[in-house]
Amino acid sequence: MKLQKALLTLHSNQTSTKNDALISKLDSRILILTTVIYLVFVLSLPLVSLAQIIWFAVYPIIMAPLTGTNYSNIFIKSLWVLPLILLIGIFNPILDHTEAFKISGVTVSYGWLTFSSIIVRGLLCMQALIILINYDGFLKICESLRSFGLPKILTVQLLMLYRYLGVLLEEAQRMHISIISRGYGKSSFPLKMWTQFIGSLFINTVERSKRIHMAMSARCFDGEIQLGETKRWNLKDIYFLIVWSSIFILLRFYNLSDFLFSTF
Amino acid sequence: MLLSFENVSFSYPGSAEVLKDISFSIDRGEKVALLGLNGAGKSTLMLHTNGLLIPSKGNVWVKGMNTKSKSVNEIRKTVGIVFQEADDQLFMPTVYDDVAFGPRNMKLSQEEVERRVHRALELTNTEDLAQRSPFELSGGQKKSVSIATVLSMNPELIVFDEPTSSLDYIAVKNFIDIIKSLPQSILLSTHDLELAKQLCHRAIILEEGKIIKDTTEIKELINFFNI
Repeated sequence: MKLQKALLTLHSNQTSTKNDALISKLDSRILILTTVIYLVFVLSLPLVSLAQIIWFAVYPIIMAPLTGTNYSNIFIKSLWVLPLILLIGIFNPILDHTEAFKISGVTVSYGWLTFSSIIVRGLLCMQALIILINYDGFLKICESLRSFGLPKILTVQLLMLYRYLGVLLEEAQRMHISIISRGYGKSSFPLKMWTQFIGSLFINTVERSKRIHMAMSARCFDGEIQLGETKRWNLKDIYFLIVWSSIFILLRFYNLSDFLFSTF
Repeated sequence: MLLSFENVSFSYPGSAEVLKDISFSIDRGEKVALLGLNGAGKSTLMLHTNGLLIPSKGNVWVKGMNTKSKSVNEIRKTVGIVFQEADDQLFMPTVYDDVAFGPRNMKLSQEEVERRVHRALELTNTEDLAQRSPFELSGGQKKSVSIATVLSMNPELIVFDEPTSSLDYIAVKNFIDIIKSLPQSILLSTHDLELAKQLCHRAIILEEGKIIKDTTEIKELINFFNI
């Protein structure tokens, strides 16, 4: 069931949410540019500026419904990377005990502050990327990256890797069904058998990949996936980029939390 | 002559010959069944028809072009292959993108791609599936879409590898209706003699990599298999 769910998620990432989106005609290259600018601004903030980083959540919270999905889904998906982010920041509270501030007599160290900042920053970046992939699908993004001048060999590698993940999951699912149907209720197997399972899985996926490549070649595939003609940017696309870039500049160079505290 | 095999032999690296001195040709409008037991070499032969495999000896000619030449994409525009497993043939996010994959690779204009995709989907009765993911379709629907992916390239010869092997009787009936409506030449690899009789006027029988019969007589074919 978990494999089936993963496979469904992977396939849903290939199809876009554009048809349900409020901004259905936005060029995916503009969304890529906006996302890159967002990532640069979020990652360029100092680690101790947690109060400032939190304001950047405005982008995924607003963009999720605009691109045809809801923020809770995006938030849940972004939690996939939480273990990795935790691993990156876990040593900060252990190594850095310098006092940052006190809340009701409880001392908060710089270690905890930067640790929290890494988590928020990591989740926000992931959410922005999920919105990007959801909006136009992975293939269209690769095509847009190609139009930005990314070498063909890189975009094709990305596409093939993405397709291979699907093949791997499909073959793993088939093997899993086969194993449990002949396992007489056994759910665990010795390590030696797992090495055989994994070996067979990779051989099966290579064979399947060869057949898929043959089917692609039979339809004149020459190493570059064509996704139709690329449209020109219009004024709405440019406005979208300018508005979001201005918001990011504002959030980056003015600490809205300080401003609000000083006002109220 | 549309397709011509000229003393073709082939062996995979490190193995015995799979095809042995095969010679036959297919003309425009012909519908030919390729019959034989498992391991007879049918699939290997089919992969030779548009240059996916190159003969170890002999030549394969498609409209006068040798599959060993560099004009392999021209050959692939002329000969389309519908593979046995539809799952291997469908790899794009939506049915529309999959059907448009070939025409886009042929660098046709956007309008022409759209026209061809709609025509192919119409011929296979799959217009309503255009925006669906191929992953969500039933076996019969996948087969129809995989035929559409080849039809959109408008080939002159369509090669089918075991097209009905995993289909139920309704899907088989749909498949027969689609094939009967096509003007193209057909090379159909199958174990299903009934299907071969319904769709083809000529049969080539392969055994251990050799052609042992090439006949247009259905009675002869039935006697051959002792049915």
